[in-house]
Amino acid sequence: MANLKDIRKRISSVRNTQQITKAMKMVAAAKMRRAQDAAIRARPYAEGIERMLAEVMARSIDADASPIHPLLETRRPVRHVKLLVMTSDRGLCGGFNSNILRRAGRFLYENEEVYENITVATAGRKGRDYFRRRPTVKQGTHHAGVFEELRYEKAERISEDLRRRYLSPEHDLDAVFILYNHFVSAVTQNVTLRQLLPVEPPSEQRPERPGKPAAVDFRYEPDQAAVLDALLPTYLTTQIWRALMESLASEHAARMTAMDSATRNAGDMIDSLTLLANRTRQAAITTELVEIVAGAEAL
Amino acid sequence: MANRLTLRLVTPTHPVLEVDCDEVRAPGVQGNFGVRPGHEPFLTTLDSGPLHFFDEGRDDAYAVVGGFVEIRDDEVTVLADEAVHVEKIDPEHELAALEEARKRLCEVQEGLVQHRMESARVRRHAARLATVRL
Repeated sequence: MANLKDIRKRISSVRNTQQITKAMKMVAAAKMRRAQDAAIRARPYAEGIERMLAEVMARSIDADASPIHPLLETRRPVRHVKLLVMTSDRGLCGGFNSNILRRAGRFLYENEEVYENITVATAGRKGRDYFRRRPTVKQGTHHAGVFEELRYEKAERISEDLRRRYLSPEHDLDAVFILYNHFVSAVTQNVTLRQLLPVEPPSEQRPERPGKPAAVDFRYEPDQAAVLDALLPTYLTTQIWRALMESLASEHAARMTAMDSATRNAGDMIDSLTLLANRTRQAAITTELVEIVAGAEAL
Repeated sequence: MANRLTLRLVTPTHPVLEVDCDEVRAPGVQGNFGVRPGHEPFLTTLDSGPLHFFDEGRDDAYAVVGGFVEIRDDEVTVLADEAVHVEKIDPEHELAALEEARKRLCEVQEGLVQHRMESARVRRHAARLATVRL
């Protein structure tokens, strides 16, 4: 029979844990809201770049004289591939990291035979640690500290790094994929795999300007090729920036959900322990009474 | 002229402003250019410098660095890497920062990442100074 004092001790320890998970949940909720806001405010820029790129591309495809931009060109054969995996720096966020890492594992398994060489680059400490424990996987750059203070410059740096390697004369990088958690809502985050390089041009079929012709004859300055040349890197950067922000919002959302259920579990545990404590206490009182009565009868 | 321009200024992190105005002047890569209602569709890359817009004689400005400008149907969309309102610029601070950045630019080797960072810094502060002084 459990000692009453021990049970009380356990109740108070579970209660402490519950307070911590509750606080973490609230912090995660606040951070999630902030990350979500930031993602929403960054949307007009990304959409603007996307629209401009679509406009430039709509024309350059017609003019068959212009050569394809190297960032757009699909290389054959694709031999060296990089997978950029976005995880979180910290744990305690439910299935957030394991979902991503499981998907990454599947990607590696499925494409083992397809590509000659797959490198895994990581953003977020959890991913780095995971792949460090797997010596068979070739690890590329780890972008450290990206999520600590998420700024646009960090996306720029990743984008620049990728472009430089992609365009290097050694041709040691032919395609880049990105794997991240897409933020759908506070309870749903989808693991998303996208191709970053070669750049997949945004589709122009958007009903955003009804009644107006899709392709307008723009005048370009200095010229169309130069504008395209400037737009493509920026487009790549905005895609990475977007994925980073989605991932951060998803991380906080996942942590919020995980901490919410942890708080609830702690509550359930406290309830059942309290019941046990009361029962133990009652049993002790009953035993005592029985002893007193028995003693009185014996007299 | 009843037609007016709609100016939208957006940076990667947030939309900065959306106003109606009569005229916009922006620093294109091939020199400054002005936009009035009825402008032809136009797409260009942005240099650093002052972005002015005029509304019934009133003049307002932002210091912008890098990006793109699209003009279409009297809508001017400016996607700038950075944008700072003229009133938020402290000329003395910018001047000191510009000097500092120039000095450091001379010290680093060309072609290095630091060199690009410092030259970006020079351009940023120069653009802000130019915006205040106009």
